[in-house]
Amino acid sequence: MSATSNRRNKSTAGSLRDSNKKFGLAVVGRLPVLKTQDKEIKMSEILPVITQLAIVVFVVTSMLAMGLSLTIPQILQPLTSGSFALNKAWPSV
Amino acid sequence: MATAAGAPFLPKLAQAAKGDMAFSVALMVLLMVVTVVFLPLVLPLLLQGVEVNPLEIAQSLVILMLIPLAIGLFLKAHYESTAASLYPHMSQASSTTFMLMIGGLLLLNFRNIIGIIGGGTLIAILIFLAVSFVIGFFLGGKEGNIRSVMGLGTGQRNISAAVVVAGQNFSDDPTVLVFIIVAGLIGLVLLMPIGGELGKRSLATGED
Repeated sequence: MSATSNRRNKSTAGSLRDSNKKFGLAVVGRLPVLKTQDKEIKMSEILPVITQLAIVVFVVTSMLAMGLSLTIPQILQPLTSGSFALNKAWPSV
Repeated sequence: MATAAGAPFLPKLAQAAKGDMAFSVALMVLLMVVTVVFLPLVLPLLLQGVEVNPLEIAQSLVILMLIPLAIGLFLKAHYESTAASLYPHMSQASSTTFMLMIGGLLLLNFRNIIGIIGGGTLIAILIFLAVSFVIGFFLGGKEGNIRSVMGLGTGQRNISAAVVVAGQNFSDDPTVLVFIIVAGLIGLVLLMPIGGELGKRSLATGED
């Protein structure tokens, strides 16, 4: 990275820091920026990653939990038996 | 969205509604498999020029949903004690990431959600969700724990399948993708308390 670009980045980060010194938190757009000693972490960059990870982990763990709590016959019964499905939906049939 | 069914959230909604869990998983798997076949056949008839790649839809559903479900079922069938010890951790992880996911999606789409309030889009989403839920609920028979699952399963659409189709066909129009995500999110946020209410009523009437 060139010296000019470095200076520009430092200046932008510096102005954000100055304007939010008393809160220890800067706002870029609508999402906050977490400050560590060496660098700033934009929440707008982290949040999509965390959310995507949460979606994947949620889907995988909920499917695993369903599999761990049920048996294959329990799941297959409504799918394989037409009369079972009808009885479940309309017991009078 | 209307042609994409089999959402992975169905067991979670069924859990909140104290519905039949085995039936919810069976319904979810059935809807998922039918969607992979039904969506590519019907959508081009409804929307001219739309192309759907069934393999692309099936890929994420198989990897993220069917394979973990099969692993869980295998462990339950062959290593029951391991399955029993793993279940609480998976259940806890699922609940925690569910909350994290809802919070994250709400924060990320806050502007989009606010943007559709007051317009016809929100009304269209609400009518679509209400009609879907009511159709499923009232065609779900007489048993409360089945009927609630049917209502929630019909109301909650398969967002991932709809997103794949939108990505393939409407990549030049981001509003389509935004609409699907916001509609899915609103559906989830609305159906969760409805599920909770159904669960309370189920407990009050003494049903399992």
